[in-house]
Amino acid sequence: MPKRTLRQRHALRYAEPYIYLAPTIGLFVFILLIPLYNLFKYSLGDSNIVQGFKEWNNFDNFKYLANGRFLDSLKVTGIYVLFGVLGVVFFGTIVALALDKPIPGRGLFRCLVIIPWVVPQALAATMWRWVLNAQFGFLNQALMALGLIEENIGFLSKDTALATVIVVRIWQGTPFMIMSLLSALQTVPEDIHEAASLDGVNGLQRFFYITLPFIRPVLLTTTVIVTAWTVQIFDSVYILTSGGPARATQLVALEIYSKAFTQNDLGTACAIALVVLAIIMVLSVIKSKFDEEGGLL
Amino acid sequence: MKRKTRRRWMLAGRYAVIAFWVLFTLMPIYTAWVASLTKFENLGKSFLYPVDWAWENWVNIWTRVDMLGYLKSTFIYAICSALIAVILAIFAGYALSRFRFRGKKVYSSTLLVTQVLPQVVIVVPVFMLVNKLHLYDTYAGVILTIVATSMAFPTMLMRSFFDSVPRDLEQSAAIDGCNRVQTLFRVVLPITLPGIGTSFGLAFFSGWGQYLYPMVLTRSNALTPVTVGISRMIDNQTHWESVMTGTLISIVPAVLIYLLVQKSLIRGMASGAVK
Repeated sequence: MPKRTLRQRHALRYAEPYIYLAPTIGLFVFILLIPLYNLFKYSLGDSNIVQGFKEWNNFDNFKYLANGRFLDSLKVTGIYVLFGVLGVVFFGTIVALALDKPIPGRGLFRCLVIIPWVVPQALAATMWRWVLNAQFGFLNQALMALGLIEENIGFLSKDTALATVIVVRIWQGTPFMIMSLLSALQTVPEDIHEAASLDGVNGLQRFFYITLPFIRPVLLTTTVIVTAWTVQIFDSVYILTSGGPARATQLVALEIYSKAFTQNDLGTACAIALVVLAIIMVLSVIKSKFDEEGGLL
Repeated sequence: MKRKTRRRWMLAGRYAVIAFWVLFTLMPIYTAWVASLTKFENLGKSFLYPVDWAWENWVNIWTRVDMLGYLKSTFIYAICSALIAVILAIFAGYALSRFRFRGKKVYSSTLLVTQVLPQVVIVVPVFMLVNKLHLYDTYAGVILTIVATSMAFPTMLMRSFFDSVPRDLEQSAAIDGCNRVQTLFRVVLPITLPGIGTSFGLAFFSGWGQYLYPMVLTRSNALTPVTVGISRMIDNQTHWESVMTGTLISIVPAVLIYLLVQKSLIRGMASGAVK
């Protein structure tokens, strides 16, 4: 090994971490710097996916953000996120509580409830399309056999599609909530529960006054994470409904895709993408606030 | 006595919740399995259990669509992106754990941004960039994109593993005449193998499920992953028995990998890497 001078060694020592980080910094340029710069640039002009940025067009792309069609898709997204997240929080909490204390078969159940988290979104969507199939689907047949319905329900028709994709979202999103809450529930001291049950406190009171304060930080952080994920869901809704019928499930995420790749309106797609980016950034800031305050919440 | 009956009701309630949720969770998978064993003409006639036991669906899927090709490209995406992500994560995690340097904060927050950045937001400009780099419709373009967006988690996981390795160990290796890279490979990495395994497993897992990037960044059949290939089988005359068979086949590797990394994932979560 050649001997290095002291100065060379110093320089090397200073550069060393940067050498290790260099490839990832390159990837930052590839995935963040250039795309985000272009996102702004394309959004400011008449752009398409063949020619890229063509010419400045006086914020024309942003006018679409006030258009009724976009506001509708914003509303659809709002409903989807609101009920999707509420469902995840509600079912995640009750299932986690049910699985918290020892119960015969708990290990198996804990394994089973995680499954939707492990199934790639796109493949979950193909399975759900079969479950929900209007003619032969499992759900229609089961309801029919139980005598609950008399004719098949089109679960993905205009009036029902949004509710249906929300249910699928709850199916996918809840396992993560269950996992987070189960680990948080382990921090609740056992003896407090015993003392409370001796004092004759009922189950609901016990949850709100004893359990909830302990799991609240995790519950809040996980809720924000799930919200951020729900805002950007694409795969499953695209496969289930492609945003239809009649734009009933046209989430903002799907709107970006269709603007860019089917309507060849790159500029507007990027303007919408900036809106989604802003929402995600706000949620990230909220989450980091929660993280900092941690136990105080 | 009263407490005893109350406890019994509590238990019944818990079982009811669990039973409801487990049934809901398993319904699509069970239904898919039933369909995968049903002949096309009998689809919908029996929904509770397979009547045909048509295992031929599991044979025919390989000729009906290019299942092997789909699986091959999915494997290539998953393995390559996981390997690259792990190697990059080892070096980046090591630098973050062992060095103090200017820009560390900026680096860490940028890393976090790559993690929260929505796919749908950047897929459009990334598509344009990949096109310009002549990487459209290549493995490299998709893999690069997957690595760049899924690198944050393995990096932070490796960092937390490196943090738990005592520095004394490296110092004594240095005294024995190892340089830093040798120390890293001979002393530090063997201790952090569980972290490397988890990072690899998770990166593989995330590469396996990719849908939007390969759909947008490729065109040719040879590069189509299972997620895109299977969902494209759905049309007006869908052979649901084949779609369900293909779906189940494609889920298996993801589940296996997940089961392998599950234990160490929980350890990673406990050590605060997942937040």
